[in-house]
Amino acid sequence: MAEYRAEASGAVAAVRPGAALLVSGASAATVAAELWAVLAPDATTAVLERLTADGLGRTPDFALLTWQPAGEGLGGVRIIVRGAFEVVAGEVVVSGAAVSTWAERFVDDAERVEIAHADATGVASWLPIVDGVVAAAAVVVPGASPTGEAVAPKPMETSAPEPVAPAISGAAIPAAPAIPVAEADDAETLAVTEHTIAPIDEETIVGVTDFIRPPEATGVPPVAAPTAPNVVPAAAIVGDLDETIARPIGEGASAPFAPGDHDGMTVASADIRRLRAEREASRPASTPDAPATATDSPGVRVRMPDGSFEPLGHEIVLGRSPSVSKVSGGRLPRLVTIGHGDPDISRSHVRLALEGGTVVVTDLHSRNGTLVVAPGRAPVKLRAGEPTPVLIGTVVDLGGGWTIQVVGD
Amino acid sequence: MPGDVEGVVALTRGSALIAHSARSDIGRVRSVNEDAVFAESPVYLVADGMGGHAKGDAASQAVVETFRLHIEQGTPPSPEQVLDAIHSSNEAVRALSDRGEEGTAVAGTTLAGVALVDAGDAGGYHWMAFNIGDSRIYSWNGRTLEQLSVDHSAVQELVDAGLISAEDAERHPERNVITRALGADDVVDPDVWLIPATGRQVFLVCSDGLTKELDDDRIAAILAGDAAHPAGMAGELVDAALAHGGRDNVSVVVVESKIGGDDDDPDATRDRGDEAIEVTRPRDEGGRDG
Repeated sequence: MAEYRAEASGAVAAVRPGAALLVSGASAATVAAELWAVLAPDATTAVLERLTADGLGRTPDFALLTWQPAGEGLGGVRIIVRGAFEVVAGEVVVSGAAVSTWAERFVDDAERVEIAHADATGVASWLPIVDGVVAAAAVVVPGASPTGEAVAPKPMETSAPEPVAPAISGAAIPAAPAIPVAEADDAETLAVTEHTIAPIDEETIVGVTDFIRPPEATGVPPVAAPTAPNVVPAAAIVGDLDETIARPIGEGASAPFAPGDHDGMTVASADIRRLRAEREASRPASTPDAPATATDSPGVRVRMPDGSFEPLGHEIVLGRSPSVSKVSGGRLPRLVTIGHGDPDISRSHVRLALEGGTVVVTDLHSRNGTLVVAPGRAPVKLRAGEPTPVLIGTVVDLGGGWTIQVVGD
Repeated sequence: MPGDVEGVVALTRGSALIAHSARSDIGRVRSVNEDAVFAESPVYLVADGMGGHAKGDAASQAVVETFRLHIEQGTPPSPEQVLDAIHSSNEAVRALSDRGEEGTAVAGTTLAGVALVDAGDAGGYHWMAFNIGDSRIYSWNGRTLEQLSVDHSAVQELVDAGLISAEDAERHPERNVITRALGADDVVDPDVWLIPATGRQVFLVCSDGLTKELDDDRIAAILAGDAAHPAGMAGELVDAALAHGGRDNVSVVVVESKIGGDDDDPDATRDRGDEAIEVTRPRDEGGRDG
């Protein structure tokens, strides 16, 4: 159980029992929704790996809390903060400001931990959240208890911009997920608390995976099945996703986490309008044939610079004006235009194929070459013409700001 | 060009102006024209029924009929639809053999052609060239003639293996043996090319009745000249082949397309300043060691 403040800071929160993540930046919604699926008390490493997958420079600002819920308190809380976030746990304040990587602290027996984005105004009311992804400038754990008593009552702001303003006082809370967890708490917590984790050293917690699962984790009913994030203010999230997708052709996927405009990734709105117009214009053409062509292998897709996805099928050839020369066997590679008008990109620049379940990338003797960046690794330049297997998550950089990413389902 | 049939194909953005001329002639020696030509915007092909086989003319006609059924005139098909038409043609030709009365004789035909295809939103429009057998597809840029297709013939395999020269191939006793044909197998394996459709492009599709009479230089010289023939450039080329002997059926389709509105010069890939790569190279090598 947690609470959040829905304020327009651009940050998005993913909350699960035992873990809370706030991310900001252009791809905040995408990243939060993706990481929500893996968020767990022992998922610290996995979350960090994903956030830093494109290198430190493109890692978004974030704050991550993980704890092993024990009884009424939070127990030991691990706090990791980067950039424009600040975490307050009692007297301990952890800030990402003035830290080039991230700040990490472990706090024993925290009663209440609050994460806030630097832009948080504190105006919006606290709203309850058990499990889900929401646009939020601040998150506090634990939130109000399910019976309606706010742990840390805040002054009610009648001028709150949120249409859902009644929030805390609406203790008979409309947020459906709250109730099942309440049951879990009542029924199971006592049984477990006695022998659960007393204060734990930092050393012991790392790498331990076989903790007794806290009641929240085991007792959560299917309401919170990890397949469909509980997006609370749907409109807010959808808006965010839209913005993420409508990135300029040139910059989009190259900076999935582009934190702002200081790196020159700013999108002129004219570009977005033009992009939308182009997409709309080209859409009707494909409709008659689309069902026949796009269904080959749904497993692996390629995230294009404009945020759209291309199914990998068995083989695609990307370039400024891609062509195919003398293939036989009856299956054609699909041609995908990338970097139209950008002379950095060769006509047929790079080939991606699915061979025996492995994604293989081949630079097609392009003039300026192709870099591949595996998750968490340094960029590697492909040898021209040499098929190179890559992992899901790998970013393929054609140069000139044109990058695509191999993604799973 | 006089004699050309012109058609406009509407594309999502703009349109393609496609002019073509087509002619098929029995030649001066043969008694049956086993060639067939299909030239209906935006698909253009030549099928050469195999001499010596039963019903060679029926086989090439079956291909034309199959394409007529499969391809909607005036609309660029998808590459898959063209492949479908090729596979269906193979079945149609196979069906002829099943009904055949001449024992083991099998109906067969070559197939070579080009089609303006729609490769979808992400791919755009392309000229798709497809070939099975020893009919040929050339591209012509106004100065040079480039053979796009590679013959599926016994002599081509010898040339590829370096055993004989291209000149020897023209006189080789097995020069008429082809290694792939429609109707020969249950599954047909066409060679396919996809070439971005942009600006002005000219393709020549022909049966071996043309290329065994005229060498590439002669063909290029004719293409570079004016077509005064009532059947257009295809008529000029067929006449020249007949004048040279016309020992086989001769079929020719010349397709010229103009697609406007292309602001991207496809020939210019710019060298990029490589500073970014220089920066990453030290790390890159470290990564390879590890």
